Amino acid sequence: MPCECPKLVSYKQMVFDPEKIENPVLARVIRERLCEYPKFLHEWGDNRWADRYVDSNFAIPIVR
Amino acid sequence: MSQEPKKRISIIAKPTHDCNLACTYCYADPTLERGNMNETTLWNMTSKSLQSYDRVDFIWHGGEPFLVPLEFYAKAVEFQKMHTGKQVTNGFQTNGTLVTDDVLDFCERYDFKIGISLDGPETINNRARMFPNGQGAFEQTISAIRKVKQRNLGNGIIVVVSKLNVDRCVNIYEFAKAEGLNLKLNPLIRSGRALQIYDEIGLEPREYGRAMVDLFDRWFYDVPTIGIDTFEELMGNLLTGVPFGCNYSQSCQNSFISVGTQGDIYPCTRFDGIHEFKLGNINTDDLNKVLESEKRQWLRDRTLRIKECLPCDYRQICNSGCMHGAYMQTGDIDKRDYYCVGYKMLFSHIRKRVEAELAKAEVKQHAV
Repeated sequence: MPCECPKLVSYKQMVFDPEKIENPVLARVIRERLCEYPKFLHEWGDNRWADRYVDSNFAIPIVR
Repeated sequence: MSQEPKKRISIIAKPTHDCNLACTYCYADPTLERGNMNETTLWNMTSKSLQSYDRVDFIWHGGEPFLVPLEFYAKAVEFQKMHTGKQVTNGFQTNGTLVTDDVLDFCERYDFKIGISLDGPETINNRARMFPNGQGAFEQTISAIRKVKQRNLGNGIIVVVSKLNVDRCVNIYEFAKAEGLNLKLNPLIRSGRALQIYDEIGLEPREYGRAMVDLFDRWFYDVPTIGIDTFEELMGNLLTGVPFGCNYSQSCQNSFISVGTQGDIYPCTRFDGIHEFKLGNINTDDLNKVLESEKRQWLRDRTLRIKECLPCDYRQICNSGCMHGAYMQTGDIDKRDYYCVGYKMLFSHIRKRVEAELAKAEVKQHAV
């Protein structure tokens, strides 16, 4: 399945580009977990992530 | 495009409570029933769960699950296949000492994953993980781990952190890295056989927190490295604000139950044998009624009742931690997890490190 990772991600007041994260551990965790979280939670029947989608207080995709 | 949510549950199944090891810190209640799960219980567990859920993840746990003949698990697969249109996964959690080529062939054939418990290198592992005669289990376990990895049936170890190894976490990490294994580190549980020596090997929450903070830095800045589930889970939770993992989720009771050898249903394997937490029996009770019972709802609502966590910065991603941890320490599930202080040290440290790295990748926004 192609990665649906957003181009830019926001976290708190920051907007960052996942591609520019230098730390390889953090880059991998974001790639593997942040991209997959919404899909994973939805599969579990938990739609709380959808609320987060419009709440910029947490890491959410803002550009697809 | 969104899909209809699927109902999913993980069942921690106990084909036996018997074990061929005598680990000093085992959390299992040594008075639990002996013997193996019979076919009637296996059938009831399989059919009732698959009638209620679209997807069931069976975690074959113990005791030691490979004390039960493989024919039992073949029967489990047969029963599962009788329920069409359902999604099923299977995994063993084992000490590895009974993993044979036949076991590996079986797992390959039926797509069972294998998770193995090991506390790192021989001198550390054998302090707690041993046969009843006192002989350490390292040699047999590492041999199994290598074979499991070779066959792509699993690639990680679960480590119990106690006073016996808390000052050696970096050694454990280096060992796992050299073996190419991913790690999950769980703090000691105050339960079962461990109660007999808890005063000697129990951890203070700060002690656990300090060890994890040190290990996090060793790992986070290491290249190349391995996966450490304990940390990755928390990084994901911090970044999304949505907790993942049974320890931190809003309620593990949305996702897990345990079914014992004789069919007794508990909220989690850690509660096995504590009668006040027994939810029912898979052979005699309607599973839907058990899952919707007042008792389970009471467990599910635990987080909402814990006022002491309300002011905490991390409440949203911690949800007061594990209710078993709280219960075993205080006799009350409506208290915070015993390791709370240690977890907060780790949450705070990870947040600091992650935010520092994110700042380097920040895209400056221009006012429109």
